[in-house]
Amino acid sequence: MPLVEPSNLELKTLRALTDFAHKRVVEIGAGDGRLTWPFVAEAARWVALDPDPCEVDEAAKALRLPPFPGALLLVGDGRSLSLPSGYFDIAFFSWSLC
Amino acid sequence: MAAAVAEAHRVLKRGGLLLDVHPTDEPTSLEIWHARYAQRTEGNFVEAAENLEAVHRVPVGYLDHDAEMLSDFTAATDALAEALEDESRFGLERSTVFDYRYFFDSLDELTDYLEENLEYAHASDALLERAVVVMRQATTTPKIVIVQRTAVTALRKIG
Repeated sequence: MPLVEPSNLELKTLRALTDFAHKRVVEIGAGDGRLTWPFVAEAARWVALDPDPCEVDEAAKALRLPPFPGALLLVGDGRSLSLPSGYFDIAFFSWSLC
Repeated sequence: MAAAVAEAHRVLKRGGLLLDVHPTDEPTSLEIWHARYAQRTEGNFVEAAENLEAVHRVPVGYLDHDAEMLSDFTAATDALAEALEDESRFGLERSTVFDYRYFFDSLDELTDYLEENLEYAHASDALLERAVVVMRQATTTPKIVIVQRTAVTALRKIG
């Protein structure tokens, strides 16, 4: 099987650039949650958005065990966020800014 | 400013971080890895130093790319550059690159994955034939590896 989980190199690179611990994070283009689940337990709040409902369903399945009370998965478009202004510490585009 | 970047700016608090990860428009290469496994984990091969005694990487060539699709990746870079033009909104915190690696056990697995997921690239017959030759020369179980250069950028919201 192909390695579909995020590579150690990718996670190490992201951790070198920022610390998600106790932060409010909005992830834009979360897809199936590939880059959500490695960090979500550290964050105070993690809102993951993707325009594709099927992808959001996949992410929901991945996050079900163990449950993360601070996580919220939404169908949404990064160009028009139904989220409050000035609320988040990190806006994370995971392979979606194009 | 691109609409998505402008929205990210709006929802971020002052001093917040815009973090972006996306592939660059550099060609995606194909390699064959021959590894000695110091430790096998349950299930998939895991790309971790403690899991390998040695890795021999053999470059095979580059995937063929759809130039139009690749332009999406340059658009992401352009959007970040544009965001930095207004120095009162974002400042560059840090930028770096790494190689994203996809591992496959067989050519069928590779081509299936490319058809389903990597719509901007495909492997030519000549490239696959070269991969077969290299795999036959492997002294341990070979892995087929796609290597995709990926950029990570962090911008700090200033105001």
